[in-house]
Amino acid sequence: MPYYLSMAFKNIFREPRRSFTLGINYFFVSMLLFLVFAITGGMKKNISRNVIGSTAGHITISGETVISGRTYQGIRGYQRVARIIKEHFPDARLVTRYSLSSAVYYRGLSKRLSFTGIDAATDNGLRDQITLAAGKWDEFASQANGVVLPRKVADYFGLKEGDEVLVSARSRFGAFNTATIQVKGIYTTGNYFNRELVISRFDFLRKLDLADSTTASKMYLFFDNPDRAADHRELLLEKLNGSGFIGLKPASNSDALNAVSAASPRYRVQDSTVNQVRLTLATADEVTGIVSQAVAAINGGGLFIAAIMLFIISISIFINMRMTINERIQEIGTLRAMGAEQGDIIRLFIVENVALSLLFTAAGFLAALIVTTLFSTVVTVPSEGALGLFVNRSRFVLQPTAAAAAAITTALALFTMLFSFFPARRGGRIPPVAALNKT
Amino acid sequence: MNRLMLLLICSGALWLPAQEKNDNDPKAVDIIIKMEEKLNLDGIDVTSTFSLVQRREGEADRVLKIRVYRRDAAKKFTLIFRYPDSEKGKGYYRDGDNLYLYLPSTREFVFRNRKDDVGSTDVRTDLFGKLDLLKQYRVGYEKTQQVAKFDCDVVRLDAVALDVSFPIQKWYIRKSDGLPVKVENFSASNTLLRTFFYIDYKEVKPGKVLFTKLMAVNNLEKNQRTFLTNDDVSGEAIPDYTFSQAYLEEQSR
Repeated sequence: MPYYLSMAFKNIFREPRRSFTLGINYFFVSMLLFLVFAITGGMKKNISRNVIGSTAGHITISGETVISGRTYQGIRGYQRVARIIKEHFPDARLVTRYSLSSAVYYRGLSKRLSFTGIDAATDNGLRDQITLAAGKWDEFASQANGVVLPRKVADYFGLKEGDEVLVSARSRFGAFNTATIQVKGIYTTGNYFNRELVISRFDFLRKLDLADSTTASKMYLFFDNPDRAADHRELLLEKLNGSGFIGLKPASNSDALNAVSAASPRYRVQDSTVNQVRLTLATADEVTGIVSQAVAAINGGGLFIAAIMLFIISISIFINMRMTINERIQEIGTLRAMGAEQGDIIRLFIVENVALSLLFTAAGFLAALIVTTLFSTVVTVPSEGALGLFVNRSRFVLQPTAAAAAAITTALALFTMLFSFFPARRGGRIPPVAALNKT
Repeated sequence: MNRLMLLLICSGALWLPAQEKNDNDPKAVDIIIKMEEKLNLDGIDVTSTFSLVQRREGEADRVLKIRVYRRDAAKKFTLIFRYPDSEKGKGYYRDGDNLYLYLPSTREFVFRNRKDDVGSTDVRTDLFGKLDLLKQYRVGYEKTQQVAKFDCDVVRLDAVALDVSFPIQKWYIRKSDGLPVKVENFSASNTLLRTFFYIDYKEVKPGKVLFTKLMAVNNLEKNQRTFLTNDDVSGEAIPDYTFSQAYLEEQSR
């Protein structure tokens, strides 16, 4: 066998033009698949990291409160929820925020923006993800109606530090309320999900929304070991349900995402007259679950293109091998005369083709690695732009993995073996006499 | 200034629930009752075509045409968008406190706040329904003031609950016929948000009137105005089927 193996490797470039023509297909298929998997892997990692950094925790608690048949979004009695969490998860980090969508008016311009209210003294999650281009965080933290704006928003209105702006929001009850905010900082961020978020103070937004002091929009829970978030949720649901709340799991990943992303409290009328606080507890995996579907769709697209290319390769293998066998029929006869069995001839041709595929697949991986390295270290892209989902701190997040390379290599090798077998078998079946008679 | 604004917001939040005790000014109540008697079209069905022209500085005019079917006695109305083509087939159906927006693109009814903006203009759906101000607001008589050439009574309305769009309103009601000529809408923190000017009315039945020309000014958006005209007004009976979700679906086809 080693003899045939050695012979097979020597034969790879016996017909260089033919080998390159076939090999280039392997090169592009392996490069394409490797790049697609690197992009989707990076996208998933990037989105999960950025979502958890901005609008979700390892467990995100959102809620709605039913009062006399009317349903309002938000967690009423959040301090009680916080006490239950602290009692059972004393080491977990808990962040409580208030979210509101509000129209901003300034010098004839207006725009609807998403506001997130934080406790500036304890909640550093957003501060750590932004870079202040103007203003100081401490000044924001000490000003009740202070806000920190994304640069994009500041540029749109022509705002600078210290400017006062009118905001008008439809409150959770339906009535409009207005207030003046003061710009205390202008920021840039590498997180796509924060790109248009106005950072405000928790109490300021709560009052603008005319909500009472026990209401919050979202609670985010972070654990040292996020892998156990689903188990922690089960325990938390049990404790919340035992304390007068109605704890629920999101019915689907889409529901989880909706629960996390609903910015502005909505007002609904229901038939029920029951007073209750319903809480939805979503894990980070559920919130970003919809990303997995998107990733699967992109991977599917890549695989579809690869399948077309593989179809072309299969035809090339057939044609190449028929030509090769016809050209090397004398060689086959000699090998058979020397004692080579039918199976040895089949193996020889299969190994030749698999070796060719491995060589060009490796070249494809190398080219893909060069591309991913260039794109993740040299090329810069604004995080706020259309490619923001793929970008962190202005760099593409690409995640080439050895597992992806191994899977692609195995698949291509098996494919080559399968499509080489039938023409190789034809070569192996040629009797030695017939082969030698061709001389 | 900032502290003052915050104080205003806090006071707005705390102040409104305190208004639940119904200490109405009798003079203001009388003015409102007389006005509602004329504007509320109880006992008759009204069909009309509303044309809305929204004018914004630096932008082309936006025009909407809406067919309105109104039955105040049953607290019902049906609105069907006729123009532009992009809005055609869309509509609202109100039944009591429930308001539904019909979206022909997805063929679904979306439950909306009964104070929804019509086609993203400054005109709200509650403009098409029956007024019930004394149930929602505490009323007080402010003063007499001239608006354009008319002597008007100024009545201030303060919401008894926060489920109204505008917690504070000022109605300028003509002394001569008891009809409003101007309405100012304020936020909970007393900022003027919108002003409506009632320019002309038409008598539908004896003692019952419908406005035929109205201008809505957005006081927060510079030079944004919506002009509204009411044509093809008819007081003929409307079939019951018109006030149903099925009718909206049928009309969108």
